[in-house]
Amino acid sequence: MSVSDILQIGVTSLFAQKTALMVTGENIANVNTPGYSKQSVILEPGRTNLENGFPVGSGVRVASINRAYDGFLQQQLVTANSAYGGYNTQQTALQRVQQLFNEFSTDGLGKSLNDFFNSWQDLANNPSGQAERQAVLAQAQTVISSFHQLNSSLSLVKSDANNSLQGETSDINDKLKQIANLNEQISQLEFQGGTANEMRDSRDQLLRDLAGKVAITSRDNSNGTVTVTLPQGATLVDGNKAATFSLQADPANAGFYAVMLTPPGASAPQDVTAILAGSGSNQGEIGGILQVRDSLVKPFLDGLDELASNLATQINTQHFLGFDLNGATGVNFFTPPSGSPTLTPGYSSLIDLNIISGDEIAAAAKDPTQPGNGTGDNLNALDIANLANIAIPMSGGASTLDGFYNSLVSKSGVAVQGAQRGATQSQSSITQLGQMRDSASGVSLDEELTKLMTYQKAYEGAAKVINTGSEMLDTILAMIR
Amino acid sequence: MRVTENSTMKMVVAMLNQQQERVNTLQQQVSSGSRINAPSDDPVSAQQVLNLKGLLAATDQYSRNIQTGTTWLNQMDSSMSNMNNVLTRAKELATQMANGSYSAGDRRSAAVEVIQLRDQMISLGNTQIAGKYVFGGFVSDQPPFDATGNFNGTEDQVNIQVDQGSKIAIN
Repeated sequence: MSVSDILQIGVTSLFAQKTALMVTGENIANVNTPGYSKQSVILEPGRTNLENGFPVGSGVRVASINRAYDGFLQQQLVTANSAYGGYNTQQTALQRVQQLFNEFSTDGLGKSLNDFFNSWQDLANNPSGQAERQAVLAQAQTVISSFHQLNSSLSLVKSDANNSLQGETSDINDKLKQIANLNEQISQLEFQGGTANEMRDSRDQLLRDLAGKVAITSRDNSNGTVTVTLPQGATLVDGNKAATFSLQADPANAGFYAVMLTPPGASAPQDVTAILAGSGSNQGEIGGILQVRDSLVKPFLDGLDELASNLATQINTQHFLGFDLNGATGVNFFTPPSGSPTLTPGYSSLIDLNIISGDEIAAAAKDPTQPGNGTGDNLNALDIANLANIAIPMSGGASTLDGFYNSLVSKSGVAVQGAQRGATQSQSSITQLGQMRDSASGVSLDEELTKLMTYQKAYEGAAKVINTGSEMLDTILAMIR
Repeated sequence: MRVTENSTMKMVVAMLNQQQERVNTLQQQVSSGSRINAPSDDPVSAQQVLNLKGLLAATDQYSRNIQTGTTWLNQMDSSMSNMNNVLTRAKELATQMANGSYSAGDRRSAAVEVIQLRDQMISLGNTQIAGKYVFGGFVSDQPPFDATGNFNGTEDQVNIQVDQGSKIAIN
């Protein structure tokens, strides 16, 4: 054992403590970096040599720099992010739908319907009055514009969802590319030894962000890369190659976009719209968008069409039997829905008045121009006014027109409530998992400052060892002189 | 459990958000004065509230109908009590003149009065409300009685709705 061995041990210690200080510094520097995992230096004693028959160590060395990482938590966070993305998108869109049906804050179709039927009662009170006849026409016009406005607003929710697919897919493509790049860099770096902790952290963060956009599953490979697939199997990232999403107008779906996927290495894109929309609500933002567009808004549009068709059919049937002021009969009040009398797709946007002047309203049950009859005949107006109270067989069981509309309002409330609950639940599970992740991987300043002191003291000690070795050398050299 | 400064901070922020949201909901309820401000606040009650609102609007309408009906009936009531007076007078005259103690002059003047009474009856029979002849049945835009007292109206009842499914005649 020579004095230079003492120096050597001091040097290894200096190097090891310096590395530990650097890692501690890195931890402190990244205390607020999202997705950063606390790193720690694993030290181990150097090789043991036999000195005069006794095993003596040769200092310290850095075995590895590890990051505190829980793969299971990461997987759970990925899933929770997908659920939150899906529910949150649905919630935002359904809130808009609900606002359209919100009879509590504004007067909507429900009020118009009530007013419309009430105007028929006024007409029954004074069947030959021009003012009353004009009022019926005006109220009918209000009902019609309410239908048109609701229809176009609901359609707008759908087309807005469709348009947001553009930003969404380009965002996803971008993230996939970044993950593929990181895959490449990590595998190259780790091939030379060590672990690329920071890059792995950013890749984990990217995976969590990506999961908020689209539901994924990921698998770690032994070469440090991660393979990302859709839960149903199609590959999104394989090594350093990323898939690309593209959009294509689908004539079978009213010209809305079909989402196409070109997996890495494949040449032809495949249609994954149905896969992305999935069945549950935990399909990420893109799943939520597709569900809003293709399934969630539809029942409200259908309900509106059904209500408009039934209203027109009921009023028309009764109006058809009556006589107007000029003795004309057999005239429809609204433009009749074509096809099946109960449901015409899109009728809520087509409904319109079939008559022009107030004289054409058939308030009388018998021809008022014939002798033995008069314009005071209000029997048909009474019958039409009474239609408001008659339950009609409709899709949700027999119900009055007003009742059917109210159930539609209630349905919009239930839909929002469901999405809200899902969003709140997934949000709180993200918070909970985030807490657990912080607990396992987060940087604690107290901890790091303690370490800072520990390593600093050790560094001072190592310097002292070198100093001592140097003095020993001096002593020996002085003996020679 | 290991606690870091950041996890404490995040927890506090999340909790504050939650409380803020609750405060917001309560503020909304207080300022609007109602528990339900959107259907999603309570979908089942929302539907009931809307049904009741509809019922309320209908009831308003029924009360308007009843007002119209009352006006008609009051007017007719007063016309008919006037008619009653006229008829009483006519009967009186008839009874007086039946007893032979009146002169031809008396009878002549009585005849003039009866003609007047008849005109009065016709005019009462042509009572109008807002331009409508109330005793004409369905013929409400022309006088139901002509100058000679012929009835040109119809015998139809004019009904108004006074409640869901119940109508009453107002003529």
